[in-house]
Amino acid sequence: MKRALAVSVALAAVAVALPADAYHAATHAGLTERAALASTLHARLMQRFGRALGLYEPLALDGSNRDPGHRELLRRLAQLDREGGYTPDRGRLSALEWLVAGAALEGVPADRTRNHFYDPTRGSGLDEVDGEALRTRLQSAASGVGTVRGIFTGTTFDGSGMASPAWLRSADNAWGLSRFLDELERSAAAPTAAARDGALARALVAAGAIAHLVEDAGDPTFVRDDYRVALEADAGPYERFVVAEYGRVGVPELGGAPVKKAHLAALFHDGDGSGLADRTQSRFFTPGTLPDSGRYTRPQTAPGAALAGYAAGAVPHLLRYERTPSGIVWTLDERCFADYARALLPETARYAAGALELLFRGRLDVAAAGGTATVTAHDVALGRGKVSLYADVGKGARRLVQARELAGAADGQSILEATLPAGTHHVAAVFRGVDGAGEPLVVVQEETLK
Amino acid sequence: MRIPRPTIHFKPTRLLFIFGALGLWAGCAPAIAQAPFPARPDTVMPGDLLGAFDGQVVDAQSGKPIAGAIVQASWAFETGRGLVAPAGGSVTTVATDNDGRYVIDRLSDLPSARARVAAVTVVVYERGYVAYRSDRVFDNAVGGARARTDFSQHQNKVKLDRWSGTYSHVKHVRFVGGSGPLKRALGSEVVEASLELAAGPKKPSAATAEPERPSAPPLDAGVLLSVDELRAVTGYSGELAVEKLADLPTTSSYDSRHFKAVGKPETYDAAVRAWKLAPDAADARFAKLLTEVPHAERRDEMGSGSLRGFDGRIVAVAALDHARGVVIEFTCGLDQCRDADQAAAILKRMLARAERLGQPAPPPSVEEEKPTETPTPEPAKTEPTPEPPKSEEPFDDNQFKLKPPELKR
Repeated sequence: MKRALAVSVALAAVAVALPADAYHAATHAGLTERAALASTLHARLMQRFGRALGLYEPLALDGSNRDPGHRELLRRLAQLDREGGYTPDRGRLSALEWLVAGAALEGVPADRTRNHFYDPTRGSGLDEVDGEALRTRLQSAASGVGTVRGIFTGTTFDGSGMASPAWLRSADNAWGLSRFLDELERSAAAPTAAARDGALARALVAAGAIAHLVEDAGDPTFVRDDYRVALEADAGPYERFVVAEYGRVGVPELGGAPVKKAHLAALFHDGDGSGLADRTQSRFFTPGTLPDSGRYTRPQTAPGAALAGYAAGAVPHLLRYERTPSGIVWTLDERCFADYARALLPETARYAAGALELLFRGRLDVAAAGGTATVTAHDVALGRGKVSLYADVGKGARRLVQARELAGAADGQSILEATLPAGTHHVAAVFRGVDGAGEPLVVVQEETLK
Repeated sequence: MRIPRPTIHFKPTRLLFIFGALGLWAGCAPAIAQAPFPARPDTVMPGDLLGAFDGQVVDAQSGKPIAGAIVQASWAFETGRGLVAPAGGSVTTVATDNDGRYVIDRLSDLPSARARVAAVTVVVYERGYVAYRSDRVFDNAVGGARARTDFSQHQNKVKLDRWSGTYSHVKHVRFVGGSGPLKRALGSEVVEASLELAAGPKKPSAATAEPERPSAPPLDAGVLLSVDELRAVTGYSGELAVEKLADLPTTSSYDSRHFKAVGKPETYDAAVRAWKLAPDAADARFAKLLTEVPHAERRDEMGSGSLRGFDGRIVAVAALDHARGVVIEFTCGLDQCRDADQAAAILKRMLARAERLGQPAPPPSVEEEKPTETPTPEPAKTEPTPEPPKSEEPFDDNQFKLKPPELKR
């Protein structure tokens, strides 16, 4: 009887409750668009990837419907709102649209969002099981977040998840950093142009997914571990406000340069408190972490002298207070959310742009003379890795000319010299390894020979 | 950490009945969010997110109806509670009729019961105009968009402002979004957006202080080829109307001419597209043509580089003049041009006049530059001055296709 009652309660809750959300897919799309357009990605795609239209270069996925990974990506893309421009048209999207699609796709299916939380003070992800695991699983299965089978196998969402910086590098994440690096390498090393186009499209999808994770560090709900109250009970009032107020196209411009960090993880949390998660957590509140919740010590705030009003902090309307006979009652209303969004969205886009700069950093110069090509590293010191040179000869498939392991190279250092086959009209150099700071990277340079 | 939860006491059997009934109800129909727009302009009663939608599209300056504008409604579905995700959507695209009116049918393919209809966006696009969205107003100065408050489900009046050369294509392409025919209609504007982004941000004064004043005189492709010259080379004696192509509005960097054979299929037509850009941007534009033109083959038979391609009975030739930053594309149906060689000969003549692009057009003179092939004595036709922004045909990314795509009415 109790179990039947629990199931009924869960079903009814689904039927009558408002939805809740992290930043909505449209918000992520808008943030990532802003980030990409403000970054150097357009110039990099033109100059280093040989893509004449840069961010507007049309790219088609390769692969057939027999490939489960290909089918899965198409199935997920079909879930996105057609308004955003990231539904493939005759199998094609521009580079920018693949990137933005990746940002929107990171939340599809909804279950992935459990791994988007990150509390920088504890270094952990979502941890709100609290004896509510069964109820949460039932509710998740009923609302389409998980499956009924998952209730029994324990895989359906129960109020817990992996920390977003760990999810970014997790082997369980098919669209994480490893996928990005693999596909970026293939975008220059694959034998056919169609395979290279498809690989670049998938690399951009993965880059968008990584940008999404960074952007969620700019949502107070996600850095203050507030699933139960902010999302489940209150249906994400801040996130709903943002999508209603800004949609995709209304997301504001960056208002500053992309944030520079040497490591992806530092975009979330840095020792000096300059990571986005650090800054968001320490400056803003959420419905479940108000001053009287006792959950976080920051931000510090105090009510004014009036009976009711707003407490100020990082923004003028940080919190609404009301003096009642039983004490101070704190709430967040739309004036607070408007201030939060004005402060957080441009900053969040700056961090997302910083992530894109980091993912596509580095430069290789390829100089060819007298049938010999010389590859030189630029912009970033290289650590251990492998540098490879590929050549297009005649109308044949791209082939590897030479590769060598590298222990490291300073900015400006020559890293490979190779004799080119006769008839070579185009070369591509690829470095895959780590940079001088130990952060994984792939650097690509396409060069058409005169 | 445990969050305190309120305890509610009800008889379990009654709860079962209530929730069971709710569950059944939930299984019958998806939830639908409240529409953020009114049903009509003269009421505050909320509209219906599912539609239907109707209205009229007019030129904001002249008030005249705009026929053939693309109107696209995109419904977004979502699923989940606590954790929420997009769950597909639906799109309907129509074109306005001769009175500029549109009707979009009510959404028929509802999502499953576990999904909700979360939003609908209506976008109106016509080449040469600033696009219209039901939720946002294009604002070149304020980050590209601000909130719209005058959209209504029925009797909606869409006033399209004419495109200004100082507006940002990057912002506009982002503003429009969309899918299918709408996205294809934007096809050539993305090239402009790419060039604009490569050149860096526009100066603030251009975006804010004097939005209506173009920064440079518009390009005039008319200096490249006149209707008389075309007749003289091809020997065509039928009537040729000279219009602009529906690629893009004329700007300081782009212009076009469409020599349209009246009452004949498009295999009798010819068209010129001309770009005048910075040398690097011209290289990029030419490289793009190599990927866009069906069956394109690089030939390098004139200028800094050239190509030939074809699509059925239409041939295309294009050439680059790197030093002058000029790219010219000439397409010609095989009932107008004899073959690709003849089209290439015409292009070669045009390329020789590349330096005239961007300068005032001289009066047309057949005498000065005699065509190499036998001229046909036909009375000279004066090219009508086309209305700057209006285009007759929605654009398709197939550059050979000059007829509008079929849209659901």
